[in-house]
Amino acid sequence: MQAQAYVYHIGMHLDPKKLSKISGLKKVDGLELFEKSIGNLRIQVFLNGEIRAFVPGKTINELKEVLIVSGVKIVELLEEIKKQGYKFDVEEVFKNGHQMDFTYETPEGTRVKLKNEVAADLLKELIYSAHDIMPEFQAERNSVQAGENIGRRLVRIYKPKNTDELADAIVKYFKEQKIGIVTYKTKKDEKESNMKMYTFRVDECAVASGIPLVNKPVCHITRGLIRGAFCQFLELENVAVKETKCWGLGDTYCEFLMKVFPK
Amino acid sequence: MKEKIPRVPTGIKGLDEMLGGGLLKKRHVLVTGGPGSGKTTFAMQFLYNGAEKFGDKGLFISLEEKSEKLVENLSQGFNWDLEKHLREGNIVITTVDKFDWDTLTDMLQSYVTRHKVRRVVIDPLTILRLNTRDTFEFRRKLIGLLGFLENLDCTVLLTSESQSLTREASTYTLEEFVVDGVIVLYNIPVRNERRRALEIVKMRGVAHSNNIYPFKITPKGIVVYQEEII
Ligand SMILES: Nc1ncnc2c1ncn2[C@@H]1O[C@H](COP(=O)(O)OP(=O)(O)O)[C@@H](O)[C@H]1O
Ligand SMILES: [Mg+2]
Repeated sequence: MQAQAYVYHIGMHLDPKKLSKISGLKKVDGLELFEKSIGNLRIQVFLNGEIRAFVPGKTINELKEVLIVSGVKIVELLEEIKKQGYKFDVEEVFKNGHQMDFTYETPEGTRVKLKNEVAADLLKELIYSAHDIMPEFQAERNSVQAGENIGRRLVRIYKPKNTDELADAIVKYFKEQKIGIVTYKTKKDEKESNMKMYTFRVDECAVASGIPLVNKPVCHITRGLIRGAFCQFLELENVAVKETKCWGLGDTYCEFLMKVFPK
Repeated sequence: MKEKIPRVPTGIKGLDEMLGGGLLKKRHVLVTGGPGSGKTTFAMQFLYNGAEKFGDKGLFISLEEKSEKLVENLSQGFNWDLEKHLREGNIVITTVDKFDWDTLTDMLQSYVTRHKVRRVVIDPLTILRLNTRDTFEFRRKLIGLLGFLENLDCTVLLTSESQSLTREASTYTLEEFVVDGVIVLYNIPVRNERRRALEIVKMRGVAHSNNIYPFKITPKGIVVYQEEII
């Protein structure tokens, strides 16, 4: 999917109290999100410092034409935000505006009451229903891709400095999303002396908990997530993750072994 | 008439003419032949030409030779600037530990969806068969993998080691039934020397040449002599 929106990044977290002081910028009812409309151009300000501009129903090319005329309004808004005591280069932020990538993230402030509380039944149904309508191989690949997308994103969000911090980020993510309780152990890799092998244990996994024995591991999404996170952080592709324990295999928790293998 | 499937030129002199333009985009082809028949050379030339002439990124999954050894051998035999494309990331050579299918597929998926790789080689596929429990399981996995790759934007070249130097109908292997196309490389003893020749045995959806043509391995790579029939 392609986002038909433009995005500007201020590069810092914004305080809702300060945003509410800016004239013309309205807080969306019930959310921690601020909006401004200029004609049919809508501008949204997110607490993570992201500003989105779009015109409902218009494509990115049509939007670009609108922005040629209304771009100055965005610069004015940036100036207003800056006046609230934030240090950034307005011109730079405006210049670096670009077509937004489609995102599956749930930015802070857009689900104020429910946050990232997950409906385990719904999640499971979405994952397993793929098996009803497409070949098993494809269905599994779909889960791996979802996991990988999340895993790579974790590196951007948590900015870990080493692989232990990366593993901690995975633990934290599972906790925040309420999709499992993760613990991990490390071991030295005898073959690759400068690399560690990680064993992740997932209790109360949202994907597998309670499923009957199927004699194969089913948490492709978690496998993809761990692999994606390490690939992104290490800037490598030769990372292998194997699910060694799973409800699907008759275990009551899931376990994953991660190692970097020689090219 | 239906819309024509775009072609992916191999860039191998003489061969694209035999194929009426090249391989079919997003399909898969098996290159089979005995040891030393030129399978690895063929496969790398497909990637090298892709990067050098057509701006396609390529991934070489080398299951028999270590990456460094493969590059070393090819640099000795051919005057291709392979190093440049490796450095620039236009061609990636890698292997898979213990030939684990999941990791192989995970890695392929990343390279194709994230790094926009357009040409993929698995050399040789035969090793994966040896490392799979039984023939049925191998067939299931291979069909799954190829079907999956067909939906992504990449063209796949697989190689397989065959025992005999010539071929008879009875030597068709399982892989040959699954893939869209089969190209056979021969290295036949004629009096006191060996002659190399190439044949397109099968290519679904392509009106290809049915002749067996001689080819040579030169410092520029494989050159097929389409004017001479063996
Ligand atoms: N520059 C060259 N000129 C002629 N022959 C070459 C050249 N470079 C390599 N060869 C030959 O090509 C063969 C390479 O085969 P290779 O592609 O590795 O075969 P396979 O993968 O089928 O075993 C070698 O046996 C070698 O004799
Ligand atoms: Mg070879």
